[in-house]
Amino acid sequence: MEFLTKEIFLQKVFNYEQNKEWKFEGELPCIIDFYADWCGPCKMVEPVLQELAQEYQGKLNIYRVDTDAQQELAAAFGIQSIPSLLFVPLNDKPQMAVGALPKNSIKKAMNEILNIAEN
Amino acid sequence: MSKETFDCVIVGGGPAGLGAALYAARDRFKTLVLEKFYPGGQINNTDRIENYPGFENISGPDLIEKMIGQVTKFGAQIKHGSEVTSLSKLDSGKIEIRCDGDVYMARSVILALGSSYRKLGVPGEEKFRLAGAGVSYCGTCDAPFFKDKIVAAVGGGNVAVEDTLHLAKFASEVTLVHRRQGFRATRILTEELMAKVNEPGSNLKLKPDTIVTAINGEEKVESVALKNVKTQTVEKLNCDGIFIFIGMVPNTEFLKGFIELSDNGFIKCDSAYLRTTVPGVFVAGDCRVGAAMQLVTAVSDGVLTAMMMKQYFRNPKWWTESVSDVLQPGGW
Repeated sequence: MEFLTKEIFLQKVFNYEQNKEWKFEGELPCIIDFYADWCGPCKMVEPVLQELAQEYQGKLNIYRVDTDAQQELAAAFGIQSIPSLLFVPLNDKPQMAVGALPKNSIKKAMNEILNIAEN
Repeated sequence: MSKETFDCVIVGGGPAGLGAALYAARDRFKTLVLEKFYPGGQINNTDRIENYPGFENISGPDLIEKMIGQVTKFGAQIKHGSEVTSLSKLDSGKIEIRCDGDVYMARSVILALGSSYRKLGVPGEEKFRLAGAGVSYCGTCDAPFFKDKIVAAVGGGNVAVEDTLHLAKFASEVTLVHRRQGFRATRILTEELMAKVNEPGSNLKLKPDTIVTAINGEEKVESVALKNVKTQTVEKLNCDGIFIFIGMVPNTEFLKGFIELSDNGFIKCDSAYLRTTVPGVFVAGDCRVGAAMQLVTAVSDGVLTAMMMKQYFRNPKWWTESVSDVLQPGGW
């Protein structure tokens, strides 16, 4: 799982400095985990995301944004509650899911929002 | 499809489940812990534990890491990301546990399901919670997002007081709304709260005898509607967010029809041995009737069930016997 700084985010996900309308820059659908080290539920989601990143390698990217270190990114998405997972499909608008989700719910969202069939 | 048999399957990897796993695995029982997320449960949300004997101050995640290390050292398997969807008792006496496409068999099951945040159930709560737009149940997680903002907090127990004090370190103004006059929280916490409230120029205010009736705003929380339960006076409190700390509800929905639950959804059991209405299935921690909802008592419940499990293995008929003051055959 790659950690996103603002620079990488602009390049790989969405260049909000150049575009007003959502325009995804990636080649694979992705999930972006907005988290912080002080957040217990975030720690519970992390290993699940790690597993999914391995299980679905080549089908999607999973990124993490440390909301403490990347406050501008967190503010750009209006993050007020973590963990928040942003599901970014290839050709549609992204959808945010707030709160710790169990693995099955993440897989369901991957299927419904990202069009990724279960392995 | 896996259909491995274990002596003991523990559903839930919080302090109760890990306490049970420690004793069961150390006693060489083949033990599996199934955890929906990652071990820890509610205690992961706490950054300051001062009431767990032996630790003057430790964070929830740090304590859980130690517990995980301890139980796995004794051979317990922990499977995270595994949500149990149903249990059934077979004619053989074993219990079948269905979980994300996997099926496990167990001689005994310990339900340590924990609990989830209780909701206020007022208009606006669900809308802003789902949008991540100003409704939160975890002060430790979300307080930093309300730096220099105005927030309301609701509740009167330990978590409410502790997290409100944490919020006051970030927010410009915190109003703690409580439906009664007195706090249920321990005196040490209540004293800390009152000392902070009474500081000159304090950013912490109290609204006792008051309830929240609605959470309002356009795209995010902008205000909450309050009502004084004694005078019936209503008022509007402008705020950027609301933190709700009004207790927990047990995670027992999937057990309906399998086991007897109380009207509030807690698992019924006998308070001495923690036996449920299904032979071989014990309950530990926050999800049982009469739980003290404390870290120490959750661990204690877990330990007790692991010990009582041995009694059940020795003599399954013991399940229906009443509580006895005679030390069981062979002691422990």
